[in-house]
Amino acid sequence: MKLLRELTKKPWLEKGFDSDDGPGADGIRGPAVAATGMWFYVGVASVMFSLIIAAYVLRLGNYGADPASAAAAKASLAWWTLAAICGIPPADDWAPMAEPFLLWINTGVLILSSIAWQRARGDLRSGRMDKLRITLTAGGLLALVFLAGQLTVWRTLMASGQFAPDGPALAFFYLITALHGLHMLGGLFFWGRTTAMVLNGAEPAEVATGVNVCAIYWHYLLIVWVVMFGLLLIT
Amino acid sequence: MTTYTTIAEDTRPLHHPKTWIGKYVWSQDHKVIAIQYSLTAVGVGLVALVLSGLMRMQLAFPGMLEFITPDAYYQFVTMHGMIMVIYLLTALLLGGFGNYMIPLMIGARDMVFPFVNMLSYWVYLLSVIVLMASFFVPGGPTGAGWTLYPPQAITEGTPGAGWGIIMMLTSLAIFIVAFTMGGLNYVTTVLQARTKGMTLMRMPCTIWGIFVATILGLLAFPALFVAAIMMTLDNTIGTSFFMPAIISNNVALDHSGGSPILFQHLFWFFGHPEVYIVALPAFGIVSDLIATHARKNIFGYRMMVWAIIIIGALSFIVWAHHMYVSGMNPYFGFFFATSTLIIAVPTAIKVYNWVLTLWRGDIHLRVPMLFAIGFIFTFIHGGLTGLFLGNVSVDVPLSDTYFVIGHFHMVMGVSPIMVVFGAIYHWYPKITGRMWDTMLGQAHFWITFLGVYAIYLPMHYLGFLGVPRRYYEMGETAFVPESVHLANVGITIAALTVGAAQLIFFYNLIYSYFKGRKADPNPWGATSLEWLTPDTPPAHGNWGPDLPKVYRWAYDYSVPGAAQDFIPQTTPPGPDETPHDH
Ligand code: HEM
Ligand SMILES: [Cu+2]
Repeated sequence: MKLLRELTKKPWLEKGFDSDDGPGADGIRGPAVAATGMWFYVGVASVMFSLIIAAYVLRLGNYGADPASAAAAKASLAWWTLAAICGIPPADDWAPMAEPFLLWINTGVLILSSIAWQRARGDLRSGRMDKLRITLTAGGLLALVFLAGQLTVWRTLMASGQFAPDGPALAFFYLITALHGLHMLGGLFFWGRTTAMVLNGAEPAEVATGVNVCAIYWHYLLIVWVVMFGLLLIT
Repeated sequence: MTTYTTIAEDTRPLHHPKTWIGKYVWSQDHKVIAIQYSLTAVGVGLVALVLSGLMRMQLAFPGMLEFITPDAYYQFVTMHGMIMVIYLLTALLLGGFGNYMIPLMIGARDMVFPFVNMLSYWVYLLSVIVLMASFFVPGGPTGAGWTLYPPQAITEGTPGAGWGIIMMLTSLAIFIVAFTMGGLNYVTTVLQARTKGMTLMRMPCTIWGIFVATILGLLAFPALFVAAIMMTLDNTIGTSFFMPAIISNNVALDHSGGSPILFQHLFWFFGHPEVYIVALPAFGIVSDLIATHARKNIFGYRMMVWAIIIIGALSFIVWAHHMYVSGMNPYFGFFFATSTLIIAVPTAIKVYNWVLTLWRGDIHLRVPMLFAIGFIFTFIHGGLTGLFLGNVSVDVPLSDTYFVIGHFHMVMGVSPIMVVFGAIYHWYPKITGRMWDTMLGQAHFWITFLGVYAIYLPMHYLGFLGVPRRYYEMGETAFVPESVHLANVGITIAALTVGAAQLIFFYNLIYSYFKGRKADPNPWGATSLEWLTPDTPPAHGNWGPDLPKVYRWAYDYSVPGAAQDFIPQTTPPGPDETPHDH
């Protein structure tokens, strides 16, 4: 591994330099900078969402731990191991929430959005800027549709009197969708910048970083959503 | 953007300001942002210092200052602790030193995202303003203790349970956003903007410490962030993430099933790495101070780097040593005690290496070096008491006593502050172009160094006697002998003296800024890049037309046969040196 080789160097013996010593050897590379920043942010967000998952699992309490049902007991194994060692007494107020069907549609829209981004990358690689305009616009608009869909889910839930304080499952649902949506909004900001450049006739090289970094970020947000949605579904 | 092969050679991405406001207020220059961060951090730190003086007054002379009610005392404790840890030390070491040092020490013109960097400062300032505003909201700031444990943090009876805690949690969330923006800059800059020849293993220890600490911050602050949001929701709209079914003032609150322990896990998953977020930059900086002023290469450079990385990684699996008394499973405690004691190994390696660097060095006892050596003392001291507290059976009786206060002030209060002082004296000539006054610097060191021992050493003894922390007053307590009171008076006198002695420091810095002797560009004969800038203080863009090229590590001090007792990193290999060939 390159990093390991770096870290085992003996700098006190090595004077002078190779051409490949350090990224500075050929200056700051634009794409590498933006991508590094993005990957680190993905790390930050992953820790955040993982901790929410951990909190969620711990908060499940006794839910599903019906000794009469072996399957249910197995399902709560994750909880038992975590909760038992963490010293968190089991709560028994978990009431599963009924996931509105719209969430499935939203998930589909988000998948389409990711596909559009992936095609945008392809268009960029083959230098077809006319197509890129369409795929990029589609990627962003679909994300906006997704957000509108999530808001609609919120509104239907609230209209039927299901607010965050009405149960831990609902509370987590609002929390997770809000944080995920905020991350999407952040992505849309960069989408706006990149799309504006493309619509104004930018060269492929100028928008390459924006498209590639955004696309990966979109895929990441899709993965986060699928994991979170799955968690909501099985509990 | 246009096509160019190397951005590093290109000065266009730098935003050259035209107006005074563009230069010093809405600045994107990492050096200006660093100064803004530092001044804000020190300013708010002074508030925390005054609060500690007030607490000490109450402890030594109970009831003398009438405005220190029990509620006010709790509020002072809380604000003091939170400000010191987050808004002073984290902001100063990473936002201040990180910003100033990273581009200069790795040979870059600026951070890679200068605009985000500027934003980071302004968002940080906003978090400070929100925090300070909490002194003026109805009910005052929160008095929940810096750990903010629910349920008490948000139930009636705790000072600031209404507005104060909301302000605190909001401020923390804003701070975390600011930190994340800055942090992404620091790590990306270190990884992507090093100049030619600056390999990772040629970076000075300072950069290693700041780099790894920033990664810790990026991975640890999200825990505090989600905890803050969840507690805010519990408090405002009545969810039950952390709030169990609870009866307050004979009324059953509208909560059920939440887990306060869950909050503790989240808090300390952040809280322990936070200790290293302030310690690692200090470790790095002190290594460079010691090497430079002892005219020796840092002993075991590679080991030092590895130790920083290993300590950083381990710091994520020790958090529950803060929760031994929370009623967790004994096996869990066993695991965390073990991991805690394992961290002592790389930490001890670092201490040995500092001492071995001093060993037979050509030691110049200049003020920065005094503080560096002072750090070795206070850090060993705090580290040893940490070994006590890391053991479950020893911690249980000592938990929540003054022993803990003594321990963590030594290890994460005083020690990093020693390094901060040393670092300020060390780099002041470069930052301002002036020299400070030596006599005043020495006076500042000796009063502070001896003073902190006078403050914190007796606290360990109070802890053994069982004096609890966060107590407004002891009252009639059979197990507390009269000597405790005497010790409290002594501690307070020492604390006020140390506090007042900081005036010497500020006077020295401000006076020297205007009237000090013009400083040499490299007064200590140091090797690293920040001393080799064409201008002192470094101009916008740092390096003039060409970036420096690095041919060697940062520790070529007292090399046999060399003309001087240091060889700057930009000096090509001499005829007797075997160049590195492949
Ligand atoms: C002259 C300097 C200082 C003095 C005299 C001082 C004094 C005190 C006192 C009297 C307390 C409250 C003890 C209690 O009633 O439980 C306290 C708590 C605390 N201090 Fe300091 N302190 C100083 C500097 C620092 C620094 C530099 C830090 C940075 C890490 C720090 C961090 C804390 C923390 C985290 C707490 C705990 C707050 C809580 O219990 O919620 N202090 N300090
Ligand atoms: Cu800890």
